[in-house]
Amino acid sequence: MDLLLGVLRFLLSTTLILLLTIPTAFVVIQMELKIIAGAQLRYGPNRVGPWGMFQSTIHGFKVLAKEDHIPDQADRATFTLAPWMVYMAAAMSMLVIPFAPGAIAADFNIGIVYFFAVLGLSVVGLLVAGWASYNKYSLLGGLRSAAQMVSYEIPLTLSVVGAVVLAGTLNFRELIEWQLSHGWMLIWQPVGLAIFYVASLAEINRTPFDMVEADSELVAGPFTEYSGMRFGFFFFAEYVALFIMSGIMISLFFGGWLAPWPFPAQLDGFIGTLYGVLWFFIKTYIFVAIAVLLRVTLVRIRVDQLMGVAWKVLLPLAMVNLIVTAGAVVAFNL
Amino acid sequence: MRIPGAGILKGLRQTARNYWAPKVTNQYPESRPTMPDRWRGRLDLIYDPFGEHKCEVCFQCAQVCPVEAIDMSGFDSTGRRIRYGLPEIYDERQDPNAYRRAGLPAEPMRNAARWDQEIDTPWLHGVIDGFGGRPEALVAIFSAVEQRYGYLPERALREVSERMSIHWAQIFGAAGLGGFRLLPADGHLVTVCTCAACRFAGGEALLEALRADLGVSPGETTADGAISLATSDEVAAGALSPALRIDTMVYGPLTVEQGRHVVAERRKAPARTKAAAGKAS
Amino acid sequence: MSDSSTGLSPQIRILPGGDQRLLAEIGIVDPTSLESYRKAGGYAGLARAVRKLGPEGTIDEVAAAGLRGRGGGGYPTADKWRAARAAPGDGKVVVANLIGADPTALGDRALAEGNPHLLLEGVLVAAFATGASDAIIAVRRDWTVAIERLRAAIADAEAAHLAGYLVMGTDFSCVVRVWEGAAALVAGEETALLAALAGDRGMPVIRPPYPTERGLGGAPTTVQNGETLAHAAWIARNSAKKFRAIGSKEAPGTKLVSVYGRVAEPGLVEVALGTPLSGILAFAGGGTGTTKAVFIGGPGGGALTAKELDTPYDYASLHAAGAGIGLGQFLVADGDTCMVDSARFFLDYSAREACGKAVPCRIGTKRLVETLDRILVATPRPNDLLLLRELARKMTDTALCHLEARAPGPMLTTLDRFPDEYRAHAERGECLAGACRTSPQPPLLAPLAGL
Repeated sequence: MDLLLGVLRFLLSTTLILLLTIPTAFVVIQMELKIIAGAQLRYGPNRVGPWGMFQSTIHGFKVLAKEDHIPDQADRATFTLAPWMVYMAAAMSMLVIPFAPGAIAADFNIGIVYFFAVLGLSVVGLLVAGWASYNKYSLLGGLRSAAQMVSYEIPLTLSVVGAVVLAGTLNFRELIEWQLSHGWMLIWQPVGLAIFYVASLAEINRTPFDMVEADSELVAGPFTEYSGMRFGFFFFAEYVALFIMSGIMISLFFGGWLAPWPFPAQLDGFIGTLYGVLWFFIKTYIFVAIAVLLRVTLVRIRVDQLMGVAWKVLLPLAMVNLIVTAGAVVAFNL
Repeated sequence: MRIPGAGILKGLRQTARNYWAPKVTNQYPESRPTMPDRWRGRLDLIYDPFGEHKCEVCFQCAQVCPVEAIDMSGFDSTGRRIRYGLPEIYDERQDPNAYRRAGLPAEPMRNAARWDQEIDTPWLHGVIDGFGGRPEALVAIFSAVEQRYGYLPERALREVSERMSIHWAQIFGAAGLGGFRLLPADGHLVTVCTCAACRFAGGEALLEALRADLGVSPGETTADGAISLATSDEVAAGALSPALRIDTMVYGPLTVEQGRHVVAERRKAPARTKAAAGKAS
Repeated sequence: MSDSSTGLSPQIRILPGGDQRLLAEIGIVDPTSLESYRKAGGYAGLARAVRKLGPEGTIDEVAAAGLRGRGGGGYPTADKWRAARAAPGDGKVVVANLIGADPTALGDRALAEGNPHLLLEGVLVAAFATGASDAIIAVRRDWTVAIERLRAAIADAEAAHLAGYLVMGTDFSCVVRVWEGAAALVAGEETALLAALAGDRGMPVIRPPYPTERGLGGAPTTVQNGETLAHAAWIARNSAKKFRAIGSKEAPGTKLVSVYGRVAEPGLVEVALGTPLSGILAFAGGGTGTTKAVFIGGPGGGALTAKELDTPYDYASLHAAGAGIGLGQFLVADGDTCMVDSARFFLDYSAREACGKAVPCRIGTKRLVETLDRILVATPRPNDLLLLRELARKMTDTALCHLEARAPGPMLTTLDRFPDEYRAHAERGECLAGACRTSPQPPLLAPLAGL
């Protein structure tokens, strides 16, 4: 009976999460269109639906209708597999996101480890896409993505270890509950937050670290030869990843579903879930908006600068942060 | 003191402020800009790094332009009359000033004298009306004009465009694709057939010999203006291969020696000159 | 300017021998006399179609004969007619395509000059079968003799109530006109021809809709090669069974083949489809010198080696060999002919004649010629031979019209069959045929005069 319930619960939650990725991508893309347009003194899309809010949705359907072309020298099997891999990596990492108390698809004790493990999968997809396309731009983009994402995963993961040591848990729910009693992790781990923020932007290939796509140099990086819905999957995965990274960041450092004030920071029961979801989405989309604003503000940095930042600045800083945190935990018996 | 990241924050402040600032986009169909009455847009072609323009002669822009803003006749880099042209040498921009404005050396057009030939307008109108002004008769009209002038004078084409109310681009395109001569030939026009039949029967050697004899390449005229050499796939020599055509007569099959002889003979006969071409009927 | 014995322009020489069917009457029938043609059995086919078979019966008869388009496509004629007949719409048109894409193909010109009434009868049979009330015979403008004779033939036929209104006292009417067309390769493509007929630039249009659904002026239009129509007239006169008497099973009947190049007697010969290539070569008196290859189908065809000369001349086997029947061009090359240079010649021709509408054709042919030029002067880029194949495949895949799709044919077939010549040129600058000068030289063939 328990097993059956477990399977049912698994099917239900994964389906919901998969379904959730689509409107999420639409909302994030729409935000990107509107915010960038606004910052460039344009109106942005304003014809489809009220205030043009269905523009990204209509884009999504347009992508469905487009011809799906496979270059004839491409490796067909891996070429078709790559978008799926990237998209599944994004969708799978969404499983552990703590939306609200009682609204976590998979609330298990090593959620943070799982998250970083799954997130690393998308690099395989990108590398495969770059290789399978039989195109030099694609291959360059794929290699860049491998170099960049593997490099940044190290400071990204290390920056979180400080928080994990403090809270003494690898479970997202427990981490947020710890923040309820101790204040947001932001106060305890400012350096960790800074490292995490920079590394997370690089990890999901956002400007100023979008070396992988680098439209002006590499056409579209690994996606150059992709068209139709296969391209759509990459595109969706990218924006879903932006949402996920923002969600993880607020869960780790900004109290997750907790309201920013203590009266009350969290409610019980079904109302409590809705209350948590509300705060979770508000905080997450604030960070999505900041990422978009960063994109329209900053220029792309060079590949060597990118790698230099990862290995020479972020990694030592993360190490120091970890040692100091660990020392403090031992010294003050936190 | 420099604070790390201060520049980024400054940039973010600027973009965020812009987000709330008034927008500059014209909402086109609803609000339209008021243009000065004499406003003129100017089209420009893109150049590649070697200074050649990148236009690929597809002509599709001219064909779809509803107001005929794109004009496609002129001279290419080797001075050949061609069915497209640099924007700087549109017909209306022939004066040296246009060149100077375009930043090009203001040389006189190499072939400029050739395309302001006077034409017999009443005669041309008669021809057009004889076909009832139907667009499908274009090729027949062109044939008539070519028969009279030996080529299709620019002005005649303009006149056809005007009389028949057909876009100039369309007229020029139909003429350009139809295998008509668009430039007058000086002296006798010697056309060496380069169709597959002639070529494999020794047409190449014939062309080489004539090229050596006359000292000109196809498309050029001898220094004394007596012979213009040309090549064409359309002599349609068939069993006469290899063949050449002098003015309207087809000769073949020819050995190299015979070809030389024929050309030398015809060279002596008086030819229709550039000046006389307009008056001949 | 016509030969007294056959009444044809001197360019056209009809070779003796072969399976003469359409050509049989040329030289016997006076092309300027309706009487002479009727005496030879002319217009009996039209009478049989109009009085006895009826439109459906005529189409069935053509279907039974298994007639396929002789313009290169090889599309079953009856299917085309049926589609045009079934298409809704008034003012259907039949267009006889005598634009004869390649100037070296002489078949249509011989028919138009030597037996214009046969062509006219074919047009009328097609018009009757498809329910067309208008017919246009599109002729190259430089075939002045053909135009003159066709016009006279139409006038004579109208006077005798064989064309025009109420043909032979029935309610079938068809007004036939002659239209002078431009002399350009692309004008032979059916949609380009229809565009030119409407006074537009002669450029192909994307299909569907096919001309049989929406063609000239929006009306269903049957565009048919002149030779095909003459065959249709022959079938109407002599029955499908007789038509099937010669030719192969899949492709019965005959085809007009223009043999030229390194042969003793270049000219036009009519052969049954399925005749081995060596047989065709024999009609032209055999090759001068050692025959190395034959280019079949002109710029859209391909080359076969001397070893393959027992290949039957029909649609399927030529297509399998990478060539095509085309308009019946049959070019013989001997040991002194450089295959690389020949491929360049055909591609250069296609490039110059490209209308410029489709990008892969406009730029692709140009790039192919440039690549071959590099190979010819032994300055190739490392993967030039690869580039040739890839570009050719892309052009074929993305073609707008069949001229473009087949333009790389001569290059691909020579590349397959004479790789040594390509390699010698590319690597050593050496011409195995000894025909090319191997030092860098400007291209021999200048662009079209006056353009």
